[in-house]
Amino acid sequence: MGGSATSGLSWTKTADSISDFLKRSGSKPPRRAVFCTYGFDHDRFSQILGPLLNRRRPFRSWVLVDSGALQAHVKSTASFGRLQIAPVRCRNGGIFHPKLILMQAGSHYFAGLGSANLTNGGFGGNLELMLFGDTAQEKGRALVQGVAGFLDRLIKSSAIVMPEKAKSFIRDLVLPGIEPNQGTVLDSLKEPLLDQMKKRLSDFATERIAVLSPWHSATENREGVNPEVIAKIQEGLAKKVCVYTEARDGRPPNLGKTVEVKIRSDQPKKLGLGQELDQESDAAIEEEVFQRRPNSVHAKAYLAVEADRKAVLFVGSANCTIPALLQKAEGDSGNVEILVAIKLKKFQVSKLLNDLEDLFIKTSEAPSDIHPKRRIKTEQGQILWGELRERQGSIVDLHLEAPDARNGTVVQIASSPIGPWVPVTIKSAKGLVTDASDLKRLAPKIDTGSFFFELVHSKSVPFPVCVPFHASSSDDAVDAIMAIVEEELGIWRDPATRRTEPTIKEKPIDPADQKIEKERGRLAGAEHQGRLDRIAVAISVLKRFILKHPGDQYAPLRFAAITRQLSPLIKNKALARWIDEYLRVNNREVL
Amino acid sequence: MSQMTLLEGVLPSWVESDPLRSRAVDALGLQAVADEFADKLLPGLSVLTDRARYFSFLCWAREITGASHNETAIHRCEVRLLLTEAALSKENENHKKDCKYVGSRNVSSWTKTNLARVPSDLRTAYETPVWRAYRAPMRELGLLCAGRDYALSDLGRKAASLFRNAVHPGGSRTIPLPERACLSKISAREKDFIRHLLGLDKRGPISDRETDDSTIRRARFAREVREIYRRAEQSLTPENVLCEYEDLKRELSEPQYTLRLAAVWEYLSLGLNALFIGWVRAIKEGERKASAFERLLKTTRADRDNSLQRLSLPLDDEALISYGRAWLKRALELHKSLKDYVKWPDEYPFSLGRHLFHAKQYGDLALQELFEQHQQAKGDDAWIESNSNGGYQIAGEFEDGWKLPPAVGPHSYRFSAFSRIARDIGGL
Repeated sequence: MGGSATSGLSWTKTADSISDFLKRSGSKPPRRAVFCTYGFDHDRFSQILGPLLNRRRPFRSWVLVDSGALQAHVKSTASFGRLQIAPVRCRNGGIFHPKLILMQAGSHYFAGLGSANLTNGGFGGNLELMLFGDTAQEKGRALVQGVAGFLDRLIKSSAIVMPEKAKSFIRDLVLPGIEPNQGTVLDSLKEPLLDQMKKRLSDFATERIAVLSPWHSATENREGVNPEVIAKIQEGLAKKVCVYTEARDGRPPNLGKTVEVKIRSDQPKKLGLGQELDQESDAAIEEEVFQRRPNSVHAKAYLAVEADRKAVLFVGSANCTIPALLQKAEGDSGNVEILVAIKLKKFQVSKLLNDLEDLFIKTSEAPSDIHPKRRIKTEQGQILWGELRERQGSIVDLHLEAPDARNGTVVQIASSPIGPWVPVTIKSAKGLVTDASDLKRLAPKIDTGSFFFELVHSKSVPFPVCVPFHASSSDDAVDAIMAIVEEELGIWRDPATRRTEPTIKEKPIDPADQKIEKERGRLAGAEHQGRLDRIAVAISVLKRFILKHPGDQYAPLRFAAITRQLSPLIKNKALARWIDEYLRVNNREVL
Repeated sequence: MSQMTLLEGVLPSWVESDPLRSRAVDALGLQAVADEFADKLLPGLSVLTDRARYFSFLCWAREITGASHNETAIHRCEVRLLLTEAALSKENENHKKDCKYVGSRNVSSWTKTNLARVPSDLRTAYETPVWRAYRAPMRELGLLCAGRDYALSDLGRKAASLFRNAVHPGGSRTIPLPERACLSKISAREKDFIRHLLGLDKRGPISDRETDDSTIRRARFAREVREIYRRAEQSLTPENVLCEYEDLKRELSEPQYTLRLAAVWEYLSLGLNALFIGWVRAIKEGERKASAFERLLKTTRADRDNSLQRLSLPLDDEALISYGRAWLKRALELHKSLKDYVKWPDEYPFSLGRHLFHAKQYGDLALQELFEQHQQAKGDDAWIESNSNGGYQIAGEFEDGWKLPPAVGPHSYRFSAFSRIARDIGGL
């Protein structure tokens, strides 16, 4: 979008990138999405991405968000429908900091990765860098596979605590259709990012490094400022470093004498003529929009340039700080961060440098000492996440996950920050509320997720309680199979009536809709038949639909996941065996 | 770690603000509800679409850039127009006063020589093309097709031809457009076309069942405010429109229903914003000042002029609190009296307003809630944060950098932009 070859990088709205992908992929199911973010503003998310995620055939979406940041920003009245919010904790004290998007629409995938959180700043208030791509293009495919590789490593990582259901959603539903590439996206789970950057650049004659980052670490021993990370970059990558960053009161951070520092320019260069902005609202708005400069730098990028101006660009979530670049999450107290490495040609380097030179200025102001941003206080409480389950229009139980709680711990929970409090005993890291009077005191709504509270030293600590995608999540095998079929076909049940959305009366135009209507017709035909017949029809519809997915690995992985999910629910062993064998025969004859 | 791979042939992009207008001053997240009301009243327009001829001009600019979308080429056309307007402003004081165009402030210091040629770096004129502000409304109005290429629809091609026929723009891409291109010299045919596009030429009664159609909504709004527009010398503002609706206490149909909601919402917004800005200013001045502000919040009387108005700052704490509480009082009275007639998109800010108004009773809880509302609205960009002493401080990013907004005023609801367009095409 926009920009001539020599001007600069394009400016793109996150929503536009997703919208383009959705236009290309049509309304094909299954529709699944995973978002990772540090901060999460549900109102802005639903305002900007909600219409896209819920248009025509809605997406089943999970948002993985840093647990501490989520607790710090919760408003007690917030409710979030059937969006699944998964708090993520780092066991060793770091923060969960990656910002990424992975979406599936049928056999098409879309990925985005960069610095933008799902917050007001992330949607463009800040200066943010994002890389988007989808499987329609070879370049996008590599990004999608790289993002899948990271999610694959994330759910297996011992450094991370997150809801089991979020892990199984990623493992059993999102990843089967993609061949994860473990080398495209770097992460800090097992190895510090700076070490990996060095390896990437080992056969690259780096002459200088441009660092774009809002935050910089000083060492803990602050005898004067010693920007340890910059020193490590100079030691491991290149001596010549230029830093583009945010100023404090017009003063650049003191990063030592060997580093050139440029700060974000508050004023457009051509407006710095002493002109005062008009205080009238319209004029102020016009200035704000047409001479818009982002409020603050939030982008994170590292550009390693060779003498001939070819370069490698690392872009992602990692600030130029110790927990982001020099530490790992497993066995150390580093953050979870990601970077993607891109090989740039000369003209691409020029575009990026043009923008940096335009957005940042050199200042003669004396530098100020670095005061690294205070971290939001780490997460509190034992409970990570909860889920409500209902049957026939009423809540039957509330499941809680408390992965680090000791057996027998009693926690007090409530649906409002001031109670009334309900005691729950944690066993094997799980809590369960089934008592009708307790559920009534909690008074949850059936059709919308919301924040509950745990009493910790007389303070209310919030945690999300989600409602499942499928309105009825009973343990009945037929219900469970129907839930799987509907998920795969992208059918939603109305939480109030428990009916699926009406079938399309007129002949659907989109071929994907035609196929789904046909399968729904088969399911409807079996509705008044016996239980075994319903199961047989549902399983055959499911198998046929999954086998239509291109690629060899999707079907076996999905079938294995379905068998795993159903086996504890089906009491009839012969039936369980039949389903297993039927799905195991991975042929396409049923088509 | 498996084999390392470098991506090639891709570039990241900067994230463009979404929506286009930054919420930099929307400290409490109240703009979203105001936008919702504005969408009902004037769908398809924005606060920035305030000149009628930009619609036909931008269609022409899009047309001459060819099949694929080239924003830089459109920006160049815009700068050609800017140079024309700027030259006219230099020669004629009336033009300078009456003809509003994007970039006027920047080029006012340019010499005649500068104005004779399009600069090689278009951003020296202004950074963000007008096209970005108009393209979404143009799509809503049916001038552009869906898709990333922003191709012209049949209507768009018609608009382009009307501009071209009226102006005869000429071929060179580096010189200003002819004077005929001036935004104020819009041709009669263009006026009729845009009047039709906006629904202002609609005749006869409009049925209640037609409210979902955006053209009908605009037509209804235009009819509703026609008298105010005349009385106020062709100028619509939230202050002169909304005050007509706040006291109506009965079942209403559109657009009166939404105008009444907007009026009450504005009293609430003014009150909350005034108190919040005063509080942040006190926090910035230190703990003692912040404590004094909290004491004043509990004791200051709500005895200032509580009409819908724009209040210029700075004011002393007591005056600001008095105005804020007076606005909140009015909002809460209206909210209570309308409980049988209306449904609010967001009830929570009223509860927040109630707690702040009764600060004597709710104490610190009210300010805690105000803080949470701000955090929820601004996320990473929150101006204040809690500190280890249980109090509040200016957030790290804003230390020494937080500036008092110049005024507390109502949301604009696109009224001013709409009345400007109406003036361009001969009135409502």
